[in-house]
Amino acid sequence: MRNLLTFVLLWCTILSAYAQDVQIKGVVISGEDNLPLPGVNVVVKGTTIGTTTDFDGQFSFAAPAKSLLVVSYIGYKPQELVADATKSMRIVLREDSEVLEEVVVVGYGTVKRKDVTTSVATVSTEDLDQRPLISAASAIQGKAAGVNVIQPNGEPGAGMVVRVRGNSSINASNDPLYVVDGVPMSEINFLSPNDIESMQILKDASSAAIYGSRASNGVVLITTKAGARGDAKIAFTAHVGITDVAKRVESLNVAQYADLMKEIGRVNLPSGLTDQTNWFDETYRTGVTQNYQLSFSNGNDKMRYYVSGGYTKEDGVIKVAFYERYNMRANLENQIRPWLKFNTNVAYSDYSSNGIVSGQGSNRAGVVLSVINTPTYATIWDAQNPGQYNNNFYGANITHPVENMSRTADNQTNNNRLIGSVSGEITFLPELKLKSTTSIDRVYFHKTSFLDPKKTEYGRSQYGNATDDRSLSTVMVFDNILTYDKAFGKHSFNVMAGTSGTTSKWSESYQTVSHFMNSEIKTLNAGNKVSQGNGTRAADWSIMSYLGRVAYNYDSKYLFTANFRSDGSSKLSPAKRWGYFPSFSAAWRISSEEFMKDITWIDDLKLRGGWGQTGNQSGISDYAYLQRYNITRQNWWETGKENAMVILSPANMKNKDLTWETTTQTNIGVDLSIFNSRLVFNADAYYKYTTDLLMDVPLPSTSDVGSITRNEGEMVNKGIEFAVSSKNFVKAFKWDTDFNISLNRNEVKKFTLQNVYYYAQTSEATSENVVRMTPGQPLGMFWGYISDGVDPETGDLMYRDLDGNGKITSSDKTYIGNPNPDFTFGLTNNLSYKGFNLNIFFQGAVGNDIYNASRMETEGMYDAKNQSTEVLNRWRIPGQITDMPRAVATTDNLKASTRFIEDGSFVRLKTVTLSYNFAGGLLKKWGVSRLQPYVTAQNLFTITGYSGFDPEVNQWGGSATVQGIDWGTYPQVRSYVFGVNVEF
Amino acid sequence: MKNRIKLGLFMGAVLFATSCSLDQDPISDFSEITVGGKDTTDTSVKFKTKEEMKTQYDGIYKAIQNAQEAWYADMLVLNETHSDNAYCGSSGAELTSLEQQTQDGTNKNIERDWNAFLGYINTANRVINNVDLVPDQSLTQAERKQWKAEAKIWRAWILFDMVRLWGDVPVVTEEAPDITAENVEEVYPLLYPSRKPVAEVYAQIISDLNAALEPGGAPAVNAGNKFLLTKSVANALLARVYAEKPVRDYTKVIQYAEAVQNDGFKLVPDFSDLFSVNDAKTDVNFRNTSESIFEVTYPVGSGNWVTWMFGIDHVDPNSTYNWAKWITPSRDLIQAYENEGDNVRMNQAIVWGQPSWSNHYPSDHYPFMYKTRSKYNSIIKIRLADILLLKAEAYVETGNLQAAAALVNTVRNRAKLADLPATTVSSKEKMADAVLNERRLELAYEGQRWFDLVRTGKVFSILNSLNTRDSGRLPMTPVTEETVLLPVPQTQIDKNPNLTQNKGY
Repeated sequence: MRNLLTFVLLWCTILSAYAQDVQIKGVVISGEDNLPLPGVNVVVKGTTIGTTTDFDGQFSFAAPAKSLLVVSYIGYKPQELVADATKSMRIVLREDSEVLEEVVVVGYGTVKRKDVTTSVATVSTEDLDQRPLISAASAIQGKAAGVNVIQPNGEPGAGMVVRVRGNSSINASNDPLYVVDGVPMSEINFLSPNDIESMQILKDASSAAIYGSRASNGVVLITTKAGARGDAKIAFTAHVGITDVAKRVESLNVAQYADLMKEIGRVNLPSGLTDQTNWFDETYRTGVTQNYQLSFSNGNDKMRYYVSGGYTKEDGVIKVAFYERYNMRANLENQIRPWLKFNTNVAYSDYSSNGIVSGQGSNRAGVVLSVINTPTYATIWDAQNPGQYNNNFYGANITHPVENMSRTADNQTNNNRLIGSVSGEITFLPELKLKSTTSIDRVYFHKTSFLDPKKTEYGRSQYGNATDDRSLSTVMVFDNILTYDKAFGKHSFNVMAGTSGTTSKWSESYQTVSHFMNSEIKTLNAGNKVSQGNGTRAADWSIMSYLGRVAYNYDSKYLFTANFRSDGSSKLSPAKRWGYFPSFSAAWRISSEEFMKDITWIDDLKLRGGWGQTGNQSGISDYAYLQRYNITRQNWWETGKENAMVILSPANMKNKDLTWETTTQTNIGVDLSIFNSRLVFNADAYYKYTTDLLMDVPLPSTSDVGSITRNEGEMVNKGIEFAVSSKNFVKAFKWDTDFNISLNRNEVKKFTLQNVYYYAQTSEATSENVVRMTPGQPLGMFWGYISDGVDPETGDLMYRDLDGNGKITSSDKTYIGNPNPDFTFGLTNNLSYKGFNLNIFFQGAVGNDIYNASRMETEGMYDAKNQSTEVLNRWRIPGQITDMPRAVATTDNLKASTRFIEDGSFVRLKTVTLSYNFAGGLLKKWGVSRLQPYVTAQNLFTITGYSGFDPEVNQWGGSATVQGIDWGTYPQVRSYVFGVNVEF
Repeated sequence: MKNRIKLGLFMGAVLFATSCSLDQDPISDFSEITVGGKDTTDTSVKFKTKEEMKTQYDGIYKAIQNAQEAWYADMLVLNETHSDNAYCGSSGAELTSLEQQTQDGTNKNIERDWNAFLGYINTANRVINNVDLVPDQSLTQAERKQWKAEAKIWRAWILFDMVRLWGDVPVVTEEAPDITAENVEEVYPLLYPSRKPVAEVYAQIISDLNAALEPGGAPAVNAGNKFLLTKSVANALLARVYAEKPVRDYTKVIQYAEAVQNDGFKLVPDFSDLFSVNDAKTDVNFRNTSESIFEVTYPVGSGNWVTWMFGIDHVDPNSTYNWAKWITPSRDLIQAYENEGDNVRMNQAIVWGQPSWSNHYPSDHYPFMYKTRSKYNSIIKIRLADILLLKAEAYVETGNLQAAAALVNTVRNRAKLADLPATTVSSKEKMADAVLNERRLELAYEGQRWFDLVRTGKVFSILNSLNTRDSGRLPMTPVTEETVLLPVPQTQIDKNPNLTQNKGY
């Protein structure tokens, strides 16, 4: 040990043995506009001697004469030149259009873009500060080929659904693994988009396999900002915007409603009703979003820091919904000793949200549907019973939207999240480093609800109700990574080996109380009846991993990488605990070959291929392999049970063979860069085969437990993806275009026990399941009858009698729609001239079907609910040709059928931003280095044939089995935002 | 060089000494680790102590108490709405299709009933198959025999309801074998048995009920507790069983009905005593009446929830008409009461209220089912009047019209109605109609009507002309020989290749 220290110290002192210094000074200017460049690093090569340029591009420092200087600045090609102490040097830096030298973060390390052998997508973060994003995940939408991002509803703070190359799991999660500054996590709601420096997505198994059993859905690597050398920077960014519902659905007025009710004959309305309330206006409003972020950053040779704080608030277009976040971050890096660097990132975030009852009919407090379903004759308040909402609808089995909003008005979900990591990197030899990182991810979750005991009918029936759930989760990771990089001649080796240990502790308290006197006190102490279901619980899990990588590179021409990871999980039985995840990839950089030397217009041409295996264990519960028991409490207040204990009953079917899902993926790709990187093209094709799909297989009611969790099936995803990046104009007028397009085909290949599954029950008018899953079909296929339109004689739908038995029965059902898109795409155009910049971002999907279940309730005409004005076209007299069936008090026209299937293809102008960058003497005098106001419109228009609020919809959120169903879903919003970026 | 080796060793140690334990035991779940004292290697004995076995025996009664949806509310829909006594009351397709006779294999309620019934049979099988294996001798032989007999009555009863609703049904008498990860692929198909012919189902029902009647089998009637599967219940069920066409034997119907009568049951003098709540509206007036053969009791402190499905809760002053209610009395049934001048029974079966809606009637005068009128009302599954009228039916069919009339008159007189006219008593055909009508008026909303119509074969003539008599009824598809049976749930057929669909679906 002592020998080691001696060795290290010795090695350090060698570096500083040096001779006579002279003063070196000069100016660095930009080759594009001949303006001085501040903040440029000027250092003596191989040392830490140097400085950064000041505001006027000037630098000056003492160094040995004739030193070799390295001049570098982000976005510019670095330059090496010999110092000339005899005069003031003038150094011209050229902008770096060369993306090939850009560094790409891969798991536990980095490589140059040109040396990448796998499929890694880099999400452009350049324009992030001009996009009014609330969620970090939305920065990916439309920006990376092969990554499909959907916002399933418009609720503030709604989770984005991120899918890398399709859904590969049924019961387990399909979300990618996020790794923020080296800390793995399953969601990134805490993260402010303003803090993001770079985002990379590991799409194929050969890149993701280094994350082993958590990587089968891809890995999103996020690096947050760090300080830079130069003058300390103060940056302030703010945006304020308004949002509204992009579309309005009109409902019938009283006269039209009364006509309809006469035809249905379900209710008898009194005469003389008049229009009283516009439920749309009572429910929707103009929402406001705001975001402010302030950051300080700086750095020098030894230390860099970045400190930021931000606030975000989004008030929903539906009155009770909101999202609010406070975030703080401190990133610090210090070269304590030449051989020791430490790095710490601490982020704290406090975010809260509230939503509405959605995905329910207006008979069960669904807000969105009740806006249409509530007749306009009704008032908001009940005149007879002050303080109670009106619920006299003459037999319409509904509650109105104001009452429905009030059901959740006092609810709130709050998360406090602290993520901290400390790492130390020891350089033993120039080529040998050990990085040791400890990180903590702690989440305090607190969800409260309160149901008013008077205002709403449901509240009165419960005598008020309040719940309080809290949980504390702590995940700690201890990583030790050893890297050895060695180059000799044209050979270069990178070897990495390491261990990673993860432990998780989780505990929860859940309490429910009812019978509140009034709504003055909303905490649980004010309720009289304590629920039998209250309690606390806790669970732990751990994962231990060993990982390694070998990369070999011959002259950046032939490249080879092998990854290996072995994971052991506490969730599995000791005999099945360890999983092994290998991957291999190789690339041939054709453009480096001799025979390509004369083709100068090709900068880079590379073929890539890879194979690997990754796992998914998110579907396995904490103690999945053990036989566990349910605990049922006895009613201790009943006679004879005063001292009774809990009753145990089997909770699960023990399965010692349970293991994680394994996805085996093969990828081939090509990278092409031509015309001095003016045109960059990437293409990839992949084949993903998932085995051991985790599923809960239902057991018949004759069994003790309802289902068994097992590795039950197999599924395939295959696809191709293209990305093109083009610099169309590069002079004073600049125009860049980025385009990406992705095609994915999914198919369930095999189930062992049960072959058919049904999902997605919507309207209680029919309670039919509209999704059927079975081998040979993609996930999410819609199942129902084929409707041949309205019979002009009867006004009823004509369902097709597929089995020809003369009547319509369940055996006439077939696949009637596919929610999986044929392809998705994103197109970004960025135009700039002088200080102006215009960014236009289109995004879309083509070929996906939507099952618009909301229409069953808004155009169903089967009971006393009010309907949309679409039903004015309904069939009324024999011979009438229309596509809207008659109004009748039965549900025959509402069977799951092609009547409710719509084409969900769309092209959306997702964002258009116009910004202006002020420059000039006055600003300089004030020390303002950047002043950039901008205006942005989000979701300005959408071209689609879809009749609902918005084609980007799924009431089932991130479900793999149920997609593309619109069922009283919180609508998407359109927003207009004004923002400004200021830097000092 | 030496340094390098040491360096390597040092770093190797750093890397591989850091490992975290993968042994995590459950903190708040009982598991095989913490459920101590149990020999988990021997799986042949599931329940080792009397207490463990008793939880399973108690589980039968708990299941019956909790069966308010599948074995009560849904059975009312299938018997009253699916016939001529009631409208659906709510607009869901599961209910409207049953009112219209257009139900199909996707009907969610039929699916849940199928699944629930098979689950009930499992609760019975668990007792029947395990009670003799319990090594704990404090569980006496007498107790073992009695528990088994009670479980068999419950199994027979459920099978009897299933065979009447679906025809051929699976007859599961063995418990589902223990599934393990190793055997699941072999055992799984055994979990999904095929349907057995009606005759086999009835053979099982009769055998189970006879076993319960053996000496030392089911308990004798207990005047203070009618929530008990007694020999009287077995006798009553056998009377019902032998009235059914596949095993019809009227002599036996009479014989078992007499066996019930001999157990000392008596009609309550006032019809309303069966259902009424007290004046203070705090509880029902009577439970476990002398007339009751089997009732599910819900004493103060527990209470049923199902009353909420039919109307307001008449012991809860805050109860309001806040949801569409099921089993809305039909105009046809009201007419039947009015034709007979039967106010006594009509007023116990139907109550009028003022809900906000007007789905079937004007909202200011709207009828609701009244029999299970509060959360403390018992669910009466069998009572003497039913057995007497069944006996009358058997007398009519065997030509003993006078004896039949005497029984019918007993029931009528209690309802303050005059004896049947002589013109009726003298005609077998008229007597058959009179018995059927009497059963309708007496037993409305007690889950008998559809079974009565099917058993007597009157279902086609009565229901297929109903739209001409009842103006409030949804348009009906004619009932056919095929649609007399319910469809087997499509989801179960999808899971179980051994299941076949009934013809007509």
